[in-house]
Amino acid sequence: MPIRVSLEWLREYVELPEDAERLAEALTLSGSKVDRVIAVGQGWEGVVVARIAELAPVPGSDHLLLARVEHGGASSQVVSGAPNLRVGDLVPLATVGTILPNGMTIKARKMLGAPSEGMLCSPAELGISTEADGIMVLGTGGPTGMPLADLMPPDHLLIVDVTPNRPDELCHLGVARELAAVLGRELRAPDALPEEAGAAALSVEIRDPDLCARYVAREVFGLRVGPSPGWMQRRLRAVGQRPINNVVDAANYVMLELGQPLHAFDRDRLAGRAVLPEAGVPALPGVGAPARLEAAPALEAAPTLKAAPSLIVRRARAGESLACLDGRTRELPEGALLIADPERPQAIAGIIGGAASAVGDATTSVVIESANFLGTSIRATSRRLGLRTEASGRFEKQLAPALAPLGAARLAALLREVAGAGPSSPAVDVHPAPRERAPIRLRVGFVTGVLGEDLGGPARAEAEIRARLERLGFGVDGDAVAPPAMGGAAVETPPAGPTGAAEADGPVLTVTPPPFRLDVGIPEDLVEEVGRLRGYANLPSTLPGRRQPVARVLPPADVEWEARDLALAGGYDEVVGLSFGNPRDPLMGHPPTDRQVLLLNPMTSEQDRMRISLLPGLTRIVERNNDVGNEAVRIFELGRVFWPRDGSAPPDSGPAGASGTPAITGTPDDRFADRRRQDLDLPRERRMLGFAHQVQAATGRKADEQVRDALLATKGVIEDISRSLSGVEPGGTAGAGLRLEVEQERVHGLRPGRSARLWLVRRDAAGAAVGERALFGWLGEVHPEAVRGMDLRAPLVLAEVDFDLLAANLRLPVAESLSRFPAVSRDIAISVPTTRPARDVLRTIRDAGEAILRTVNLFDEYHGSQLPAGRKGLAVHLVYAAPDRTLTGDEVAAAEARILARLGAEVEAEVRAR
Amino acid sequence: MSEAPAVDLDALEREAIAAVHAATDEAGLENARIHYLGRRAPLKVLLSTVGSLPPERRREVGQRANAVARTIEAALEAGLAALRQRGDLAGAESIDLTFPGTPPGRGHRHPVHRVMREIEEIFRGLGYEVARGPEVETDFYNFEALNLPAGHPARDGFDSFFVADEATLRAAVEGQETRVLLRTHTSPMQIRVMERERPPIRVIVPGKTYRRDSDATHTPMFHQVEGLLVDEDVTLADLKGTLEYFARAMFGDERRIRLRPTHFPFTEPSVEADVSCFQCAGRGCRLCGFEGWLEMLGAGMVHPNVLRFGGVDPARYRGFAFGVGIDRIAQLKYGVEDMRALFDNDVRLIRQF
Repeated sequence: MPIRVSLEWLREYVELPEDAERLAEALTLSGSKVDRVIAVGQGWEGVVVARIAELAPVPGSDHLLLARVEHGGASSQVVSGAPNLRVGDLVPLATVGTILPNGMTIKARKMLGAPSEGMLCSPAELGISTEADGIMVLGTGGPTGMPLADLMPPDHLLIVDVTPNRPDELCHLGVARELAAVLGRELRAPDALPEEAGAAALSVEIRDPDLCARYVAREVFGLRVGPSPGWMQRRLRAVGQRPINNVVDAANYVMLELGQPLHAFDRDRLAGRAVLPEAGVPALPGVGAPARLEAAPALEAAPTLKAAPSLIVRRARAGESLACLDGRTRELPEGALLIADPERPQAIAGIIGGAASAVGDATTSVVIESANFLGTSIRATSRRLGLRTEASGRFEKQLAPALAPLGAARLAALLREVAGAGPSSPAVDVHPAPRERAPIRLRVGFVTGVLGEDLGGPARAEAEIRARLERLGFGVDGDAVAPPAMGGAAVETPPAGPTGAAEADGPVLTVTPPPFRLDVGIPEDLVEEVGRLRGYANLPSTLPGRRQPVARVLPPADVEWEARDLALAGGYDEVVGLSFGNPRDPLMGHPPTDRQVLLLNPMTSEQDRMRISLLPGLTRIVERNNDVGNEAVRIFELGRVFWPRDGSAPPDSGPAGASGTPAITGTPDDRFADRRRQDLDLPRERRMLGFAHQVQAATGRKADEQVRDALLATKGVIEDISRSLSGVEPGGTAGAGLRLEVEQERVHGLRPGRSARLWLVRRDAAGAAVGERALFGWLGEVHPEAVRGMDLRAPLVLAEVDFDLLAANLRLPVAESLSRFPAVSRDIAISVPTTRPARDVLRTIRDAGEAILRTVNLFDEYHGSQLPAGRKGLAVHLVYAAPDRTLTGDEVAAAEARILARLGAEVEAEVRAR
Repeated sequence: MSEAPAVDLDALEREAIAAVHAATDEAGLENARIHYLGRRAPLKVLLSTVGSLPPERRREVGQRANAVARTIEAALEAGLAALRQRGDLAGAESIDLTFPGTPPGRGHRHPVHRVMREIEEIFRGLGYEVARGPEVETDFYNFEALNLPAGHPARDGFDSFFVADEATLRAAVEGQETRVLLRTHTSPMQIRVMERERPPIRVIVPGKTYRRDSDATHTPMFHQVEGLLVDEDVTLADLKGTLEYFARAMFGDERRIRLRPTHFPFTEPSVEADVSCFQCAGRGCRLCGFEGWLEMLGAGMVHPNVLRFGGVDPARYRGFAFGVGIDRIAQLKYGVEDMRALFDNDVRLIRQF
């Protein structure tokens, strides 16, 4: 949470050097990051305080106003478009000739015919904040005409981004304490002891002590509400607060000073203890549970006053509401913590006060509230109401109960000073269960061991640790001879490592954190305090080194990168799509299914689930690329899809649902599935490899040829990756091993006749399947119906395969010994019926069983007028070789003749040429 | 000795150059050479008889004749070169090699993966193992075991996506129900790795992470690399050295780093590491917001509670951990203005890599 602090204000508590940038760096390097340093008052020559006297519309404009402003005895006309102009407000006026901090020179000019002699400035234009959407309002009353610098003297502001564990630092004293510790200066905390008189008459009851650890209240009488003094207004303005009146300003001031949010109720508008059981008066109608009345203070304490108020801290009941200070009436969420009097709610605890008991001009006595609330409860209520205030932002980070009495006392003292109040009543301090905080035992050797820096030896290290902690308000008791076994209530300290003897760890310190530091509880926390104050600039830079088990030093090759490299080499650009699924996107491969991993709180309805396929996303990416003029897009993605764990996916739905044989399934991520997860229902995550290959031509014969090329190119890159990673050979290859087999069939979302399922099958040497086959994926041209409504410029080929099947079956390539004898190649050209798939031809050649046939390469398919109707031509490249001899022409010719005969018999092949 | 012939050297030079230019082939050029520079050419004759001139003219005529000879020679050379070039393209088998080279038709790696791979390689070099882990996680691993118990205010900052459907809304860990969400960081793998492996542990976890956020510097899906080292006697100085090595390997050997104390629930002490701006070398520029430093990553010494959740005894072992935003590094390193552009996947962007 960023806060603004003024150096002028900080100097009240600590002596600071001039250089604001250097201070900012010192804070940043000790853990309080300074986001910005603002020089207040630079470029303000010519900026004066003015009052808006009149406002009139500028003819011809719907938002510009002509303001007549008075400053000192003078009066000027200024045109402004600011939305927050109000007659009576004091505002900064940049007079003609002013050069603002952003370099803008103010000139007299006409806007839509209206003369403008100067400019009313926003905080951004004055260079003190980024707020630019309205004029800076300085207040409503007081003199005008003097330089703005009189109201806001030159100063530097630091925007400090305080980490969430340090709510104690969300104030000037907190930042001053950090600076004092970093710079080694003395801290002067403000004097917070008010004058007291009388007895504590009011009563406070905490009904829900789980939500309110402490409630301190004081009554203050005889005050006069009016403007707060100039010094207080200047400081509040400097940090961006608008002065309101002395009581409200003083409460804000104490919050910005000590970090404790405060509230002031108009005492006379709080109901007292009108209902006294002793008096036998029945409970007032409309009051829910009767107030519990133990330990009632004597009412006679303030006999001239109306019955002393009674405050109850309790959870809201169903149906309660509160008219708030900001003019809005809010329904109170049931269970929200509120402050009530016996009759009605008076404030939403820690968030906002009620209008009924708000301090107004007629207020003469107030009840100061300085309380401690449970941060998580304040946060929950604040979120449910959609209302965050300066107070709630602090309470929700869990303030320390120790701050509460300090805040109440400081405010009482200030009200005496700035509102003429009389002495305060003694504090009513309800603190049902004060928590003792155990001291922390800290070995000096632990500090140097964790930091990796010896701090000049045990004695000097001890001195430094002690000095740094004490400067931050920690209590340190040295006990150089403390026995290592000292236990008791002390928080444990990690003992020395197995090699470190106890005495080598040096002295042991007993450290008590200051009461406002709830974030410190273990020795590691203290190491951080010492380390951050030292700064890490001079910490040595070392690499950890010890003997490592070899298994950890040689990580397994990462097949994801290998697959990506192969796809890149194949000419596909890599994309990274979002892992979400869009219910309105067409699916390819899978038919639609209800069984998906849905999100409870998606950002948009187009991203309301996890994807089950890469293909819809790839198709959208192609479409987007077409939109910007990128044609013939060829892309791939290796990423995960997500399926609910329970049951199996629909029978047809793809790899995640396929029941493969044990030999060819497995998810590498299971390596880190812990024993604890045995009963877990986490979704199944599968890595898929998807391709989208768009052709150049949009329609016609040319497009058909290109689609064929794209289908085979995509199939080719899948075959290449499968072979390289897992030794998968194309279907029809002789010998034992994994085969990628293609079933040409209808696939959801793909074009009939141009789509196929891909299967992984383990075959033995005889070609028989071993175990069940596993669905590997699909390949095809996208069905025009599936992408109706999308703007694809040309036909698109898609393919998706289950990468985890490959990763679970990695295989190193095995080198075959090469024949020293020459190979003989022959091309054959045959014709077969058009309906005959190429696979049958290849299988027939393989099944011919010619031992000298080394490779078969089906390299061309043609249709045309030279062929009889119903037939297509195929060209096959055959390579013959033997490991032990040079083949004779007769041998080759005989083998080829047998192959051709078999082709003729089994696939109706006819020889066309040789 | 005969009188030296009267030769007009200037005219001779003009005539010779014109003849060279007029030649259309190598034979023509050769003829011109013989005619003007051959043994019987007037120029050669003149030079061979220069000795017979009166001494006061010998020097002047000799120098001038030699200069003319050199000029003609140069013109012949140039003419020959021009002819040869023309001749190469004129031939039937000639190929125009001034034509632009054909791109090899490779694909281009996505910039995020380019950075991810680089990071993996740097840490493999330091002996780290690479693990990945589930993207859909339980509340237990994503928060609770990382010292972020239910109700912890810091959970708000993560803005999680929760899984909604009945089957996976809740899962159980050791009999305790826990919500299922998309991991908001790669840190849950710290616990999974520690549960699985005994120290010494050196592992990095690259992968996708999810938060409900979308603007110029945030996307609902993004990438992180988690690092975890657990061993005896691990120090903050070791963390500093490791991060410095990483920053220099990633951004250049001249980079420096700066550790700023900060707060994370899962580490103690905690730091943010800044790297000196690689555009302005730390002098201050727009990229670094005139600070000279770029925020690089968050890190710290593993909190003893986190070690305990992982089944590692904090009395014996310490560790450090860090988390790097990969997309941000890609954005900085390659000057991508809007983070969301990384996942628009416009191939014009990807093809720059």
